[in-house]
Amino acid sequence: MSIIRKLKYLIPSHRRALEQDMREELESLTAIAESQEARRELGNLTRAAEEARAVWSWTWFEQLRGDVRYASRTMRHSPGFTATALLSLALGIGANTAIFSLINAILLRALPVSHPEALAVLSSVSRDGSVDNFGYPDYLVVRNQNRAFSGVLAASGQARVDVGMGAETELAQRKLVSDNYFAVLGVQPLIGHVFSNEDKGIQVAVISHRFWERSFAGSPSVIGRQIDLDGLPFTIVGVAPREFVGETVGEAPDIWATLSSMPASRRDLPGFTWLNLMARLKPGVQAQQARANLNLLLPQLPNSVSRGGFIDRISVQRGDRGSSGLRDSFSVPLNILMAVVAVVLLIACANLASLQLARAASRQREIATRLAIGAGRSRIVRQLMIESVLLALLGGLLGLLFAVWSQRLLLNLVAGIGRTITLDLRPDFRVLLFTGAISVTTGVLFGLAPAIKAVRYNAEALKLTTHQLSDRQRRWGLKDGLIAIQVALSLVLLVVGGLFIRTIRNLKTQDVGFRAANVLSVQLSSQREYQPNWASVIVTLLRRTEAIPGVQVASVSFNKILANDGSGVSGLKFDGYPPTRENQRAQANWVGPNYFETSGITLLEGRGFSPADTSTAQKVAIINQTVARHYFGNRRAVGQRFEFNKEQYKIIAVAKNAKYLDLRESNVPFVYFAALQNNSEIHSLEIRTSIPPLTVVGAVRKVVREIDPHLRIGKITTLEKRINQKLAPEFLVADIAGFFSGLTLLLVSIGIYGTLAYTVARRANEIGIRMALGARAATVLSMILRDVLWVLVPGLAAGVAVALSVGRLVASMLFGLKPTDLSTIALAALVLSAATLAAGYIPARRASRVDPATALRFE
Amino acid sequence: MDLLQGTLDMLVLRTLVLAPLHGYGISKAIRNTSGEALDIEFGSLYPALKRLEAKSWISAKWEVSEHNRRAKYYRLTAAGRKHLQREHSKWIEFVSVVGQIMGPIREGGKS
Repeated sequence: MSIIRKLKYLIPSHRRALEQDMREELESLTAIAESQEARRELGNLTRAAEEARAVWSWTWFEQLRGDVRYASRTMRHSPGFTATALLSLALGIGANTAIFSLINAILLRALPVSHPEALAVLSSVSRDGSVDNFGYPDYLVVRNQNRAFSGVLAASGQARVDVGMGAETELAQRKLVSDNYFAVLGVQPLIGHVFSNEDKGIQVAVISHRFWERSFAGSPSVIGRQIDLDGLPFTIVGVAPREFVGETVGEAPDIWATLSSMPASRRDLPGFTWLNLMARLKPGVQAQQARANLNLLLPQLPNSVSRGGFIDRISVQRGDRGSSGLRDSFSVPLNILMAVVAVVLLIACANLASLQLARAASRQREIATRLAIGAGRSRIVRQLMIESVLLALLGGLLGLLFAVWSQRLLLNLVAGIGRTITLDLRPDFRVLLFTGAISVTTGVLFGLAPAIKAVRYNAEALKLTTHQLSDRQRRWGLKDGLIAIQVALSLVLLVVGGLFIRTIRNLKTQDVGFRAANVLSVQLSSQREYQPNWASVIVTLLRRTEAIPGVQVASVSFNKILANDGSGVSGLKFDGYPPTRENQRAQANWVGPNYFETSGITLLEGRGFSPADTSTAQKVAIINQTVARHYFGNRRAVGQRFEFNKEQYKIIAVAKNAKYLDLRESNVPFVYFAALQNNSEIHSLEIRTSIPPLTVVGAVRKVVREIDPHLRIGKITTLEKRINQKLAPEFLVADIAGFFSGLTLLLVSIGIYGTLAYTVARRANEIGIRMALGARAATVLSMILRDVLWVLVPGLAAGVAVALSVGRLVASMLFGLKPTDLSTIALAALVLSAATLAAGYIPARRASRVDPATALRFE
Repeated sequence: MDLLQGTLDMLVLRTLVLAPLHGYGISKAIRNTSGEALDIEFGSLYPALKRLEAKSWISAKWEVSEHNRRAKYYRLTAAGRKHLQREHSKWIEFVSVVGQIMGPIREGGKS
């Protein structure tokens, strides 16, 4: 009712009629009252009309508008303060927004599919708790025999392929998926259709919206077009909707093709575990029941423990946000970062609150005047709050821009070097809501204390001089508390930054078991149909590569070091050891001659593989220290034998332990086989150079091309770069925490400098008297610096306490040191003390040079 | 005498029970009925009328007064009457409760 009335008031003709009616009524009443000689009784009619208008009109809105106008005028009036405040708010809110958009994209956002809440991610768990994918035969069992799901889909990781379109060829990311992929996810194509049974006989592909626009200019005639994927013909049958970029967060495939396009011989290998499984729960079925049902199928899985495989059980987890390795590796660092940037914002709040307090003192007169002429206290608090909230909202807007701008940088930090991660970081509703909420909260936080303090003033303040006003401050007031808080929080940031920088150093300087410097790692890929005599390719490749000037030695391998591609082997048989899982399994690699010289892995005894270890020679293998210790203890391992795949292998050397998959792993059992001897496919060419490794890239490309045009070069990187890539999560936290601890150090210093400079200016009088009475400059200097210590010491103490208690939050990401590492904390405290004392020294020195005569004459 | 907050609305409604009145008439009626004890400023009364009108407890109509002058007359609506009845019983209860607490102050007691 009331709202309709108010809305009607916005219509000009209605408002005019109301105004006219009111005027007539008041005039008539005046006439009546005058006729009864009672003009006086009606009093102030203008005010009566004004208040009556409030019943219909938008008074609060009008007042708000007035307040906002007043606030913006105040802001313009002090551009220095406004700029400082906006900058620190933009950085603080922007950092929070940026990290939150990452969290939103990686950890929170649901897949754009129908009913994502019914989706589940399946993963295989081995006995040691490590999580893995499934092989195709496992998938078939799960898909066909479960009773819990209405559908189970399988998807490979994305891979770069050549796409031939007529005469042109371009690179695109392709993902192989089961034929029910889109049906299970409930994704409808934008145009065309998704995979269906009618496609039998031809190979079909669905393309992404992005690829459609990029390569086909968004033309609807793309349906039915023929493209070549790695030399095989495919027909495009559909285009996925714009928002759908696959089931895995961080990937953005251009083309989806079915698993049936892959040669069965390779697809059906049980040991080839390359498929992510997701499923849609039947209505009413809980994840718990699904898990129980799936584990009944275990005995039938080709890779289950009972059949000599690695799958101990199957886990069923919520799949509404898709599956993602990113989530596993980044949920801890992102949460740490969220805490870090929240602390940054808190520091900015405290900083601004203390600046506001300093200003409030000088605005005391203005406020006292407004109180004296009848402004309500609540009105003044509101006015001041609107000022700070407005400031915060403006800061938030700038912060949003800052966040959008910093996204590419952030994404690169997350991806590390040489990895492609595609995330949609455009601010969505949730991000905007987040930014708006923290902006308002920030404004309230840093505006509240000064506002409440301001209304405690009364008209008495008008009688006092500016100097007297400021001196009526308690010894340890709000202002000191705010600075101590900044010191404490700043210390926490410095400690976190320090811990991560040292973690990275520890990870990098640890003995990785190989010599990373000057090693180039060249990824080799080949088309599926390419099945050459690998042994002869390897021999030629190495001969030609080693002839390149600057190359010392080169070798090849099946798996790259520290590149997430490891091969577990099962079924090793050593005499005298029962065939338990521990006794049969190890990580393995197939490597060429000179592999150990090239990678710099030390052989403790024995010899490395040589070109003479061919398929007709005695089968040989090299084991690492962990394997040697496990099976042979103190006995000599070289010369011993073991059985693998029904063949006898002779151990020809023991290699020093190294890091194979991860920098944090330790003592992984590892067996090397000879690539030449097993006619093994190779994926990697390693080259040790005597000159900077990237300088030989051109020559290597030429050699590879000349040997066989089917052999293609993928990523080229150095081992050192790959180590850095492995450290991406640690670098992410270290870089951001480092950047912001530096920034907050600056903020805190500015805060201390500002507050102290202000105090010194106000106390010039007192200092003048002291000096006139014989105080020396050094005494005054130490007196002012004592003020710094007065807030520094409690701040540091609180900071150390907080750092010690929150340390365990980051503990899981640290390496080689404890979160309570005393030297890091001590160093952080030292840096902070030095910075704050330096900031305090400038005003203190100014105080010590006060000329008593000038100071005393001032009033 | 100051008015308790919210009482003014009730007084206006009560005054209009007897007959429709214009704005000045209401203020005069309240003053007379209270034996001159309550002198309500017109500046407060007039917004209250608009408020009550907005809530549809009273309705207004231009009419000609007893002295042959045009004036806007306010009358109680059915909704207003109902509201007054509710307010009235609440008021009675309030007075009796406060009355019990605020009994006569004994001699020598602290005030």
